[in-house]
Amino acid sequence: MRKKERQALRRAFAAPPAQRKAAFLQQLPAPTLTSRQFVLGQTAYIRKGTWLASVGLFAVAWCVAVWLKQDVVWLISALFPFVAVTAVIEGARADMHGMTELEMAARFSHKSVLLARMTIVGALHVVLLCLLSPLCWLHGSATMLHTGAYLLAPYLLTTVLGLHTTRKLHGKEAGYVCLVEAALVSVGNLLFRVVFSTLFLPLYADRWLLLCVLLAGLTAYEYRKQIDQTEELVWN
Amino acid sequence: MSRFSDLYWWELKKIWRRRITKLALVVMAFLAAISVLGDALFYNNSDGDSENINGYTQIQRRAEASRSISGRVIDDAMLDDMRAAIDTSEQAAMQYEGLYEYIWSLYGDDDATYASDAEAMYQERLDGVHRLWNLQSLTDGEKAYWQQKEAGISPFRWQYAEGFIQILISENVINMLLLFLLAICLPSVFAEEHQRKTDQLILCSRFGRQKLYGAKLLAGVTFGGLSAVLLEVITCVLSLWLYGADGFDACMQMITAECSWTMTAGQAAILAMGLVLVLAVLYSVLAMFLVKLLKNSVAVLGIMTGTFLLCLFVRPPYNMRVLARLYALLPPNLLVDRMLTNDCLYHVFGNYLTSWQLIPVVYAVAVVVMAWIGGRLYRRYQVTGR
Amino acid sequence: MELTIDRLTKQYKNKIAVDRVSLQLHEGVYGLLGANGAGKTTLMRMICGILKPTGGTVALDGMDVSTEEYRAQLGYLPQDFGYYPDFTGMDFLLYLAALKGLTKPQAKRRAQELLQLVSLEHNAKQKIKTYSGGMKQRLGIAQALLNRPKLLVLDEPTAGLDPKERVRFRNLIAELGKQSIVLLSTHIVSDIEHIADIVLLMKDGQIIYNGAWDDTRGDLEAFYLKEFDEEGLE
Repeated sequence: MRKKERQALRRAFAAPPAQRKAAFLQQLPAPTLTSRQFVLGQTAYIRKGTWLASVGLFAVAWCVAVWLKQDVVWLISALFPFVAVTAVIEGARADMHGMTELEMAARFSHKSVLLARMTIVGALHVVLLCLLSPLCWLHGSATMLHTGAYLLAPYLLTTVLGLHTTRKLHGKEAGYVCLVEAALVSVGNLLFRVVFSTLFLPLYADRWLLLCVLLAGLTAYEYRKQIDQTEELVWN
Repeated sequence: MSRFSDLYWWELKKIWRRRITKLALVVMAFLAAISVLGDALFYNNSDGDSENINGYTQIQRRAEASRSISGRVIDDAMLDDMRAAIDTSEQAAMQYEGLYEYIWSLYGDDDATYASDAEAMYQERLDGVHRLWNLQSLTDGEKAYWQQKEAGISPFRWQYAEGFIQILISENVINMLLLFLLAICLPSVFAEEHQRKTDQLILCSRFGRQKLYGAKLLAGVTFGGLSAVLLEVITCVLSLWLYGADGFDACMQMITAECSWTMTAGQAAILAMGLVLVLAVLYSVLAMFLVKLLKNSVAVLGIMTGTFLLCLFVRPPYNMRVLARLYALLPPNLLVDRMLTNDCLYHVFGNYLTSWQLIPVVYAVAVVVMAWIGGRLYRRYQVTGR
Repeated sequence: MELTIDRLTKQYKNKIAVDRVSLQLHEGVYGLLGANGAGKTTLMRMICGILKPTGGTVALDGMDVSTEEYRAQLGYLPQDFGYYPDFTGMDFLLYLAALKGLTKPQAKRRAQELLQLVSLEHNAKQKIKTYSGGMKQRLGIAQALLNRPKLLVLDEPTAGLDPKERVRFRNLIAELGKQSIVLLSTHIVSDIEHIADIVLLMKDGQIIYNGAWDDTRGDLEAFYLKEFDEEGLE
């Protein structure tokens, strides 16, 4: 049918207004979001800063280790706490911005949102650690496993402190305190490397692995507590 | 005036009452103490001592041994005594351990260190100094300045000055701790008013725009200064207790062989402590200025700590003269140990000045400018968007 | 449809915020009235499943409050809610629609529909931080309606709305009450008088009045003040 005829038909015939449209639409079975779609959908709601921090850290490690050919493990281990804190803040965002009540009352509740985001960001950071360890090992003197431990220990310590803080403090102040903790872990790490340089000898490398295991346990404990807390609004 | 002092005390109380302030101060004080006590707490028996001794005992033994030869001019006789002691026994050699390490720092080689005579040692040092001047791309005028300083430095008198050396090292640590501490604690002085929405009440009050700004600024600077004093007291007391108060008159060359400064270790330590107080004022005003500019405490923390980490790991080459000299003026670089051998000079009104001489003036100007701009931003602030 | 609240209790240390409240609610508008600290918000939060009761149960047509199926039927507007700072009005609705299980096309359609309903269609692309208090409240009402809830819980919904908006809101609620259970709490007695089919008066954690209110019973405000032992303003 030609365009002119279509237009003429449209002018000649006026469709009657829809009746009981809403009731009819409600009868139809509406497709709903699956859990998988929900988790993938949450990727879009993770802040750009979280992604940028990880990409930025990898870029710094690459530049220093590959182009400048320098030992980069201490720089990365000083910066890693700030990447860790992005994960903690991602989990606490709803609380920081007063969205907890709304999210808790939704079908995919606040707990689901938290688990989804922690899974995504956690996976990102595992990949990041796997990429950083060989770069940091390149010009360092420790084995790759021990290099990973030197990177992981400040990360886990920051995560433990941050999770504990976000459970105890609420609102935007929690985010700021988490950042402060990351800064303190970073500066403490740098200082320890200078003052207790003996602790970084191969002789003590296995103790770093033990420390990482301990901190990983504490991290799991804190995560569990945080997830438990999402099941109920904190009584005011 | 009493109104101003009331406001000032309130602002100081508000800084102190925050939990994060107390936490950060405690952590920084702990780290400052640890930075001095590190060797005492954790002694690595890599020398293979037959008896199991702790770090503190080891430090005291080494101090006693070094004191026994303190005051002697480093000449051929002393070097002969050093060789004789090394050949005799480990116990005897311990007396000259410090001297041996000192000469080793010039040669970087055990054989050359052992065989050196006094003239060769001083020449090696001078050659090292000249190499540094070439590396740092000094002009002829700068070289002439330093040559004048060099004349009459040697021969050196060996002195045990570990206490003051430790104080100097600690000042660099305090610089780092102070930067983090003030970046954490002081942005809230201004940011909190916006976060807690008390700015509407304050800015419409009689003294809210003018006097209060001054009171906040002074309270922040007071906090910074007192924090610096606390950290310095902790490190000084611990350094002098652990290593002793000997060597105030030791020449700077005992701290770093290739340093050309003509001052004593004690004078350098006092000067460094004074510079830390200047830094405390600078960091305080900087943190408060940045938060007025950026209206975000997180950004201030990020900028200050990011700058510090950048200075730690990145350095422009000396042949980029202007950049290298400007870079040396950045606060995190002020008290690092390489500054003692940084002979780059600043040509100001026909005079040559070192960074330590120029910095108080530069920082004072920066503080005044930031305080003035910050004041304008504060007075012109409009409460909107709520 | 029935919302069954059976001996619901919330105790915190030595304070009983909600004291063995039992209710059966059906389609219609229920107005919850009470003084500050009476327990209205606590009761509403337990009905929404975001606060765990010390005792008692809440179920909607047999679905317990802790289940996902229950939450799928629920729409909730809290008394005070926040927002992610960089979200526009549309982003906010799309985000919450995702949490309520709507697919993207559904969410977009429904969000546009609701923005028009609350007169925010021209502000949809603006950031929420630029919204006035009334606009934020209207956005809050819109998000509560995203999933066409069978149970709608509104805590102080007319706070921040101007008189014209309040009238529009009352008409909307009256319409929704025909097919859903609407429970709203407020301090504004005239809102209850105009919209609520049933008035629930709450005092010290207990429901002291549960029933319809009409003019034959007198002035609701006077009754309220008498119950709460306040002197009315002359």
